[in-house]
Parts: sequence; structure tokens; C-alpha cells
Amino acid sequence: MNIIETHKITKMFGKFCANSEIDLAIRQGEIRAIIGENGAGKTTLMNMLYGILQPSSGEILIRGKPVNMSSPKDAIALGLGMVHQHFKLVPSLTVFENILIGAEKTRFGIIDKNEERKQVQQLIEKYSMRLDADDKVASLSIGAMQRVEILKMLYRDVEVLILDEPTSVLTPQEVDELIESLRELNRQGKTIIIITHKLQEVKKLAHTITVIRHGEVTGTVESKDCSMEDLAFMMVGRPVLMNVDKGVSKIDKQNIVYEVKNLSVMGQRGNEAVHDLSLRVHKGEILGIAGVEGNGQMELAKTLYGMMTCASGSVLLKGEDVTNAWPDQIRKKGAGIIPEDRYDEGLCLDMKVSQNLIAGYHDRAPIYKRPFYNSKKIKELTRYLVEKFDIRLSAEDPNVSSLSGGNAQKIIIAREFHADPDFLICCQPTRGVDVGSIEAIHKHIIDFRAAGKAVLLISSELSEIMSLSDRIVVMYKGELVGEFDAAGVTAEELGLYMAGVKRVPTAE
Amino acid sequence: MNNLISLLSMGLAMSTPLILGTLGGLFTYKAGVLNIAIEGMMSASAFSSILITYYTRNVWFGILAGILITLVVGVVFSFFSVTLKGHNIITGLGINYAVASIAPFICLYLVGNRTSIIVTDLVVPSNIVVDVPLLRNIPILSDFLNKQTPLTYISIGCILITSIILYRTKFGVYTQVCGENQEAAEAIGINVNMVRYGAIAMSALMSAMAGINLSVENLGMYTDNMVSGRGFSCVAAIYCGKGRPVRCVAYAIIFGMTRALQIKLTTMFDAATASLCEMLPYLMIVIVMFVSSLGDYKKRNIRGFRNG
Amino acid sequence: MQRLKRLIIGVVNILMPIVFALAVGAIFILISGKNPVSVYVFLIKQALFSEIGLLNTLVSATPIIMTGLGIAISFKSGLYNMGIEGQMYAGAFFAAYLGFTLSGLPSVIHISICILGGMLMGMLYSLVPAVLKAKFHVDEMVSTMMLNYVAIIFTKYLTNGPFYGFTGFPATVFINDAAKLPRFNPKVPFTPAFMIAIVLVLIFMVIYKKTKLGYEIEAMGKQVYFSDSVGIRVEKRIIVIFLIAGAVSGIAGATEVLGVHYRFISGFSANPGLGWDGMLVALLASNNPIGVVFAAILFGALKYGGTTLQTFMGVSNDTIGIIQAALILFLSVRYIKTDSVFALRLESLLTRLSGKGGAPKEEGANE
Repeated sequence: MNIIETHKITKMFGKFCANSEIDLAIRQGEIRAIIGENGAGKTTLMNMLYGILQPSSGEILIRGKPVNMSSPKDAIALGLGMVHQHFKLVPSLTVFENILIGAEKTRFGIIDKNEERKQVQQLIEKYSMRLDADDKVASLSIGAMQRVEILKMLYRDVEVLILDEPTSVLTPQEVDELIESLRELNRQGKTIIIITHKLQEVKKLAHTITVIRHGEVTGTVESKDCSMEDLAFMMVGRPVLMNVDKGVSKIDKQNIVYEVKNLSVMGQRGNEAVHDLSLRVHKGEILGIAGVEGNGQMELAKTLYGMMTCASGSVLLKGEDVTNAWPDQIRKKGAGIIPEDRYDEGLCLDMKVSQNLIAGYHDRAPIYKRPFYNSKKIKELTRYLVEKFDIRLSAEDPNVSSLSGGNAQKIIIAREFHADPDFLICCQPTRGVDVGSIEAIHKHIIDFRAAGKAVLLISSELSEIMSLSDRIVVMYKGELVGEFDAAGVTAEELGLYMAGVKRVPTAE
Repeated sequence: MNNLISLLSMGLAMSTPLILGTLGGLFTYKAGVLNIAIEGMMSASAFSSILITYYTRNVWFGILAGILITLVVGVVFSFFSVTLKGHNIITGLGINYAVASIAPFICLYLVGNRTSIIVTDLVVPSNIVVDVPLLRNIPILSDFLNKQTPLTYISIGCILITSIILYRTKFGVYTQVCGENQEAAEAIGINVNMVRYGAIAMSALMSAMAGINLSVENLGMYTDNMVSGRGFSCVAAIYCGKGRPVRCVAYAIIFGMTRALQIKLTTMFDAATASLCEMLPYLMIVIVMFVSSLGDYKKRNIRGFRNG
Repeated sequence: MQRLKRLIIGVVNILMPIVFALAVGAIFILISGKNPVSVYVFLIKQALFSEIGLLNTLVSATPIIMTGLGIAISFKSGLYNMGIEGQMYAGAFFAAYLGFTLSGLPSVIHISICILGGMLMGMLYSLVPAVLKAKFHVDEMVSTMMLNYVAIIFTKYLTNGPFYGFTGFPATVFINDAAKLPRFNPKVPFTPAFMIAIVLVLIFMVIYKKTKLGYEIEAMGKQVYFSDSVGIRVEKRIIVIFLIAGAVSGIAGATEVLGVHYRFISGFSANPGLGWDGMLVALLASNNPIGVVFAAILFGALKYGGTTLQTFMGVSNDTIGIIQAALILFLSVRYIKTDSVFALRLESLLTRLSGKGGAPKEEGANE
């Protein structure tokens, strides 16, 4: 029996068609994966199944009956629960309070916290999840927050659990734990729908796989009948290079471009987020920092590109001291910055592409000559960079908010490479970027290295670290716990270090 | 010693409207709406409670009207800032400005002068004070805690009530959810706008009590501009106390004590110097905000500013 | 096409709040038993349709243009600097002080010194909240509001005490003749102050359009964290922007003293004050300098017209305040967003109209 069916559902946003006549049939008790590139329309589809969006046309059937869901509340009432990619949790409340938001137990209008705690504890035990009901959500790891989200849905007795990109923020070990939990839930009779673009996990977990491209279903296949290459082809519509060709490395071990010595940074909760960390990047080298998010990479990155200050230690760029330098000073000394959070730190959504292309370099000739800007030169520069870096624009010079993630990231790439730095601090360069743009961005980074420059790459995407880096260090709880030659290490091995199971003192 | 005790006693009285306004403002603060309109809400209540008392010759009608009209002001503020999504600061200032213009307009039209309504024939402030049975027997303590107005005691009770509502009721928890993660609220089907209307109504209710304290309880009259920045003191107290009820109230009391100190000083100097002392409450707020920021300043290792 | 669409949306977004606010005002005029239409007609006649009226309107508009510019540059960069009023008092008092203490100077020099002095004092006073905000992250809205009270009370003390002018109410003595701005018409205090305001408007336009500071102000206003992380030192810019706002406020205060009152009068800005009018004007103009001029003239007309309302029409002067308050509230709302249903319909309508007119010159219209 099909628990969810859709008949030709279509969703239009203005003139843009996000989903076009999608037919879906999900059997009770199966694990279904819905895969597709970023922007293919997966999330739109799920939001319609969950009542967040309403289809422009077509119908949704739950247990064979047509339904009209106007809010997630309706979906939950029908037994559908969703775990969003961005968690909907309240940091200052505890685990049990978060699980019971909207379903509080009250006595005479006052919340009965003991009763709530007891119920949540039972739930945690029933599904054998690693959680403490009394912890504040703000203090949890990402994996634990995800478990809270799952429990929030299970508490509401949902039959169908929809997970949106659940693994993108987890370690390989946490991913395995999640897969195990999901299988357990499935054994207990839950239907599971997982939305992702990660093929490996899909193959491991799902019974059936539906592929979406450009808002249309390109096929539904049994997991055991197809290879990863088949799936990738269905997703992208053309053969995809699963590996990057790095070319020969020309590392100059004598020439240290960037050096961090004994750096310590305080975190937000008064702990030490980065502890006594040292590293070197040589000319012609890409050094990758692997690690699960939340292990101090963010603080390290922000300190290195000047948005946080360190408690102790020093940083040298080409032999010059840049400890606690501001972003403009770091750029002037010849480093490029691709920051962590594209829309928070790298781009201004409400400013034009041209204004974003000069940001950070907006006081340099030829576009600026004290005291005025040369708007002709800015136009020329914009045209040049847009063409050279293949940034796809909808109009002459639109606001960045109208651009896709990939094109937006290309603006940062164009801006930083155009300044011709000797060293690049490169954080999460392809997060939320489509496959085509990922290839292009990776190629720019490889070319940069081939020109004898140095790169410090920080990414939570392990495959990215492995395919781009010459050398990999693993960060765990604010420290470097292992150092590897990229050619001689496996993802499984790195995963053990990332999870803190293994560690060796770094050579440096 | 006597001076100190009478200063404390007066300080407590002067803190009452600030405590109420601050506690009310906490609801909006937690709900993610910055309520600059506390000032205007207090004015609206101070004005309308006296006006209706003047007309009906009945204080209770006046008090009731003060609360109702302030709630209406709250609804207008909610309508512009929540329903129409206007910018909080702008709408708040608009409300303050509106009350500051409408009150003298009505006053002139109904009473015949722009600036004051006197009802001391109906309300005698000195008769309103409460002589608390047990408290009056405790030496020293009774000297400044006893014989305050009812709303002073109510305001102290409100500290506990506010904490319970904020942390132990559905409404309070939802208020925090709406303020911290609006998407979380929506995902669970909480009507964010409704919660914000509720939070603003709580703020209006408490500001109304503050206004009644100022005009009815303390003076038995309304004068133009009588709130004189108290609403902003409440906003400052909320900022300084970072939204924690007890801390915020502590700051409110500091500001209230400063006002009392200013009045005490006024009696000690000649007229010109005394008028200089009027700066004290306002300067104090700036100084306290500065001092309370020093802790963060030393700890801060994050660079950059955030919008809003 | 896009440009026309944006223009129409812009005009609607400005007109709607004005219409709504006048409607609210009309209700209150009705309450006071008068006919709103005749009151409004009277107001417009008074303020715009006579030389004296028009000049008086411009006189009222002059300080509002300047305070409007000061608020606009703050709002544009995302700073809630409400301290324009206090900075104006600081500037006005110091200008008056220089005006009555210095003597024997040629008029042009004396006036220049007074204006510069007022400007510097405005800057100095704005430095307090600026440093508190930039260095210590103290909320600028509350601190500037409190400092307004401080400035008003302090100048009241000065005019009552050390600088009492012995005229029966709190004001200083009159400034020397050399420090007075010349009047073009003996009956109206219309002086070169208006030209100074216009020059300031032009300077602000150039700052916004052509300079590095203008770029940085835009970035800060739109996404301040982005600004910091691409290397705009927001900390320093905050101080610069506060100083600029303080400077124009100081000049506004100085020209009020030198051109209108000829002395410092305690509370001369009236309640709620010129700084507040400036905020309204900045909102109405969405921080655009040219818009500030037009909005200030509208306000000047309301203000000047308002003073005659009580005497001639028996309508309370507070009506003007009510209209202004309603205007603030209605201005806080964006009526049409560029991606709303209405905007889309408008676009398709325009496309159809231009199609019928057979004018395929879209490229040209797009600039």
C-alpha cells in the first residue's frame, strides 16, 4: 500500500517552475531516497508534502485519500514528520523542552517539568538514542541536535519521517550511527524518506531511489539495481568526473608561505575553542584541515582571517607577523580570503554584483582614485570578471540575492583571485554549490596552486579535502590530532581521527 | 541616616514605574520585538486614567480606562510592527510621538488647557499608601519598605509573576521560541504573530500600571511630558540586564534611585544648580550602560558588528 | 521599463503614507468641529501661496534639511543615532556664545567662526555616543536619546544661570550684529542658511555616489558584518558617520541662532523638536538627499502653516504633531515591494502599454 502518493504536482514561484508534474508513490514501510543536485527542487517537493508550501496544481494523497495541508500542523496530524536541514531548535531551552514545544504538559496552566522530563526520558530509551533530557540544546553536538529533532517528531507519533540532507553536517561515524538509528526505526514500522545529494549513503540505506533534475523526476530505481555512476548521470544529466585531476605537485618545502604557531582561541562558552595549534603551508601546497563541524575550525578560520582575536600564539604570512590583523591588513599583505559563511561574511545580498566584486579591494586603483570612484572602470572590471569566471547573471548588474549559490560563490572566487594573492584562506568553498560550479571552483583552486601559490583549505566535506589537498591535518576538539599525506590515507582512517578515536601528536 | 532611609524609601517609589515598565518590556524583548513604545504607553495610561477620573469622578473607572486605552495603544503598535512588519524602532517612536501629540490635543479640547488635569479633589496621594501589618513592626526596614503605594508592592510581586509566566507557562515558552527561532515556532504550528501580540499586550498592561502609578497614585494629576524618558530607562535596563528578569529589575531600581537622589539634591541647592541636577538620571543611564558593557568589552574576542 | 516601474512604486510608497496621515489628521480636525478640507486649503494657502508664506516655509525647512541629512546618513549606515537634537543644541549654544563674546570682526569672518564653532561643538557632542557605540557596543539609540535630555537640561541651566540674558525668560543675550546672517526680506528670517543647507545636500550626494565612504555607508547599512569581514573598519566608520551627523546638526543649530533667533533660547527647537522632524524627513525621503529637501519643504509648510492654524482656524497646533506621528507610523510600512503581486501586475501592464504604443525602445529606457 502506498502511504504517500502525488499526482502531477507542480509548484510555480512567479514564472519559475520549481517542480513540474511530479508523480511519486511511496510504499508503507520503505526507505526512500530522493536525490538531486542543489536547486533541483527536492526541498520544494518535500515542503509541499509537509504543508509548508501548497502545490500550484496536482494533488497529494495520504493513505489513498486526497489531502489539503495548509501547515506543518496538518502534516503532523496525518502522521508525517520532518527533520529539517537547519534545525528548528531553541538554544536556550533544554532537550526535553525542545521536544515538547507545542505539546507542553501543564497543570493549572503551569508547565510540569518533571512529567515532561520523564516522558522524554522514556522516549530516549525506547529508541535507544544517546541523549540527556536535561542538557541545554546550545551545548549539544550537531549529531545530538539531529537526534533531538528526530525525537521531536517521534514524540508526535509520526509514521513517516522525512529527513532533509541529514548527513551533510555529520562525521562518517555519526553518519553510520544515524543510518543504524534509521534502520531501527524502519524495523519498528516507520516509513522513511531521505533527501540528499550524497550517493554513497543513499546506496547504503535506501530501498528505492527517486532522482530529480530541474524540477522533474528523471527516474525511480531500486537501490540494488544501479551503480553510483548511473545515479550521478541521472542527477546531472551528463557523465561526471568523480575525481579531480590535481596534476603534479611542485611543493617547495623550503619556502614557508604561512605559519601558525601555538595559536589558542577562546570560544563562545568560555572554553578554549582552539588549543595550541601550529601549522605550516608551503609554496605550491594545499593544506587541508579536516574535521567535524564544531571542533574549532570556525574559530580557527575566523581568527586567521581577522574576525576573531586569539588568546595567544602568532601567525606569519610570508615571514611578516599578521597575528590579530584585520581583514583589510591581511588582504594588503597578500592573502585572499574565502570566508566560511558566504552570505554573512563574503557577500552582501542587497548590493549589486559589481559592488560585491570590488568589496575588500574597493580602495585600490584603477577603480578608485582618491577621492572618487571611476564608475567606468568598475563596469569594465565587472564585465571582465563575470565573463572570465562564468558567473551567470539574470540582468546587467543585479543584486547578489538573485543569484544561485554557485554563482554567488563564483563572485567571491573571482574577487579574491583577481587580486592575485600569494596565499589563500579557503573555507567551505563549495558548500551548497551545484556540481557544475564545484568542478569550476575546484579547478580554480588547483590552477592557483599550480601557479606556485599556497592554500589553506578548511572544509567539512571530507571528499573535498581528500581530492584537493596535498597534505591533510585533522582537527578534533580544537587540536590537530593527525597529519597525513593525502595520497596515502583513506576516508575511514581520517574518520577515526575526526571522531577522536585515534590521535597522534603532530610532527610540527 | 534619616536622609539615607528617606532616600531609599523615595527611591523605591520612584523605581515602581521603572520596574513595571521593564518587566513588561521583557515580554516583548523575549518575543523578538524591541519595544520603544513603553514611553508612549506609560504616557497614554497616565493621561487617560486621570482624564476619565476627571470626567466620571470615579478613580476606578479612570484606572480601568487607563489600562484599556493603553492596551489599544499596544494593539496599534502590534498592528504596525507585527502585522504590517514595520520597523520596530520606527513604529515605537511613532507611537511615542502620537501619544505626545494626541494627549495635549484632547486635553485642550476637553479640559481647556494643553498641559494638565488635576483631580486631587478625588485622589489624595498621601492617603493611598498601604500600612502593611507585619512590616510596620520591623524597625528600619519598615521605614523605607512600609507605607508605599499599592502598585509598588504589586510591582515587586510582578517580578515573581513575570518569571513564572516567562519560564513556566506555554505562553512564556512560546514567547522565547518566537524570539530565538521563529522557524522553530512556525514548524510546530505556533502563530508567531499571535504570540507577539500577546507579548506586546503584556507590555502594555504593565506600562499602563506604571503610568497609573505616575499620575494617579503619586500626584493625583496629569501634566504634559510627565513620563520624561522613563520608558527609555526601561529599555536601557533591559539592555543592561540582557533580558534576565532579576538583573533587569536591579538596573531599573538603580535608575529609580538616581531619580530619587536627583530630587533630594534639588532641595539642597539653589535653583540654578538644582536645575543642573536634573541631568543626573539621564547621565546615569549612559554611565551605567557604559559600565555594564565593560565586562563584555574585556571578554570579547569576536570582531564586527551585527545588524539590529 | 524597470526604471519606470521603480518610479511608480516609489511614488506610491511615498504618497500612501502622506494620504493616510492627512486622513488621520482630518479625523482630529473633525473632532475639534472644523472642516478638514478648508483647514488643509487654508494651510496650503498660508504656507505656499504668498511670498511671505513661501519664504517662511523655507525658513522652517532649512534646519530640517540639515537635521534630516544628519539622520539620513546615520540611518543609511544602520545607526540609530537619535542624538541630532542634542548635537544641535550643543552647536547652537556654542555659536551663540561665539556670537556675543567675539567682537570687532568683519561680518563674514564672524559668521564663519560661529558656524564652524557650532559645527565643531556638534561633532564633539556626537563623539560621546560614537565612541560608546564603536568601542564598547553601547546601544546608540538609548544613549543618544538620554544625551538629548542632558543637552537640553544643560543649556537650560546655562541660560538660566551663567549666561542669563536678563529678558525674563531663559535665553542668552543677543549676538553682535556682525554675527547675524543677513536677511533677504526684512520681514522674514530667510537667510543664506538655506543656501548652506542646499550646499550640504550637494556634498552629501557626492559622498553617497562617488566616494569610498559612500560605498562603505551603503555596505554597513545593508549588511554590517559583511562590511567588517571584507575589511571596512566599521568601528572607525561609525565614529566618522557620527561626526558628520554631529557636524550638520551643529551647523543647523548655529544657523538657527545666527539667522532666526539672534540668541540662544532654551528649548528653541520646541517639542518634539527639529531633530525629530529630521528623522521624519529622512524616513519620508528614504535617506536620499534630494528627497530630504522636498520632504523638509513639505514639513516646513506644515510647521509654518501649523503656527497660524490656532489663531485663524481655531484648530490646535497639536494637529500637526498628530499628522506627523501618523506619518511616522505609516512610513514604517513598505506598501509595495518590488516583487509583490501588485508590482508584477504593474510590470505586465506597462509591458502591454508600451507594446500597444509600438515603442520597442526598451534598451534605451533601461539606461
